[in-house]
Amino acid sequence: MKNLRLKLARMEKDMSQTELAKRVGVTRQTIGMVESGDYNPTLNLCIQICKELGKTLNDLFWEDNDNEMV
Amino acid sequence: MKWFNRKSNLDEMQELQLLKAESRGFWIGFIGLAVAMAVQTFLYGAESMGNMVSGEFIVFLCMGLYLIGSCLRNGIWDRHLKATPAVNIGLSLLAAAVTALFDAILSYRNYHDAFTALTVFVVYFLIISVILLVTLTVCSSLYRRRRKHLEEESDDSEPRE
Repeated sequence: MKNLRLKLARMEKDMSQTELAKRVGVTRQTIGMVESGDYNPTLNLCIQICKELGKTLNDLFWEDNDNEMV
Repeated sequence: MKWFNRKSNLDEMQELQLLKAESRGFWIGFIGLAVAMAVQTFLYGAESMGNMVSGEFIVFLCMGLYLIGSCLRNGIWDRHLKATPAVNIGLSLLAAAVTALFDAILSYRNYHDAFTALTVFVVYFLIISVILLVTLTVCSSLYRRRRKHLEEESDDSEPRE
């Protein structure tokens, strides 16, 4: 399942995948795979990403009927 | 040593991919050794077990023992199978049938006598199935005890790495 909310939050901050990856200490490939839904990040990485993008875990990673990831 | 970095160069996703690659490599090696020993034994006779494939056998045995030891220590049995007597009996019979069939074919190839081959099959099947059943029963009992211990300790202590 693609995480479009993460992609949107990153674009709102005008940040490339490479830049976000550098800031949270992973490779660009990892960010790409999180956004495309091919990799489930650990809670630590989720928190790091949220901190860098100024969002909460709920904003980016919580998934329910009203707040579904595409 | 500038070329060696104590800190990992990999991130969590790459670490996971490396673990998967290493796991597949382990199973390729494990199954490959078993096949290599079976082929060599078939081609050169059972006596080759004593000299030609002894190195492979020791490595195979170490890999198997390490895997069993690690799994039992961490309270892990199998992804899909449960540690029940019925499953243990089924697995023992299946593995014994395959091994006994292999030995019966070897016997027929060496002595060209169907009765001897059949006797080898029956005797080997009985012996191996009993040995395997006892081994699996002991291991599953150790697994259950370890599982229980880990469940009890995880309530009030830090989880193990």
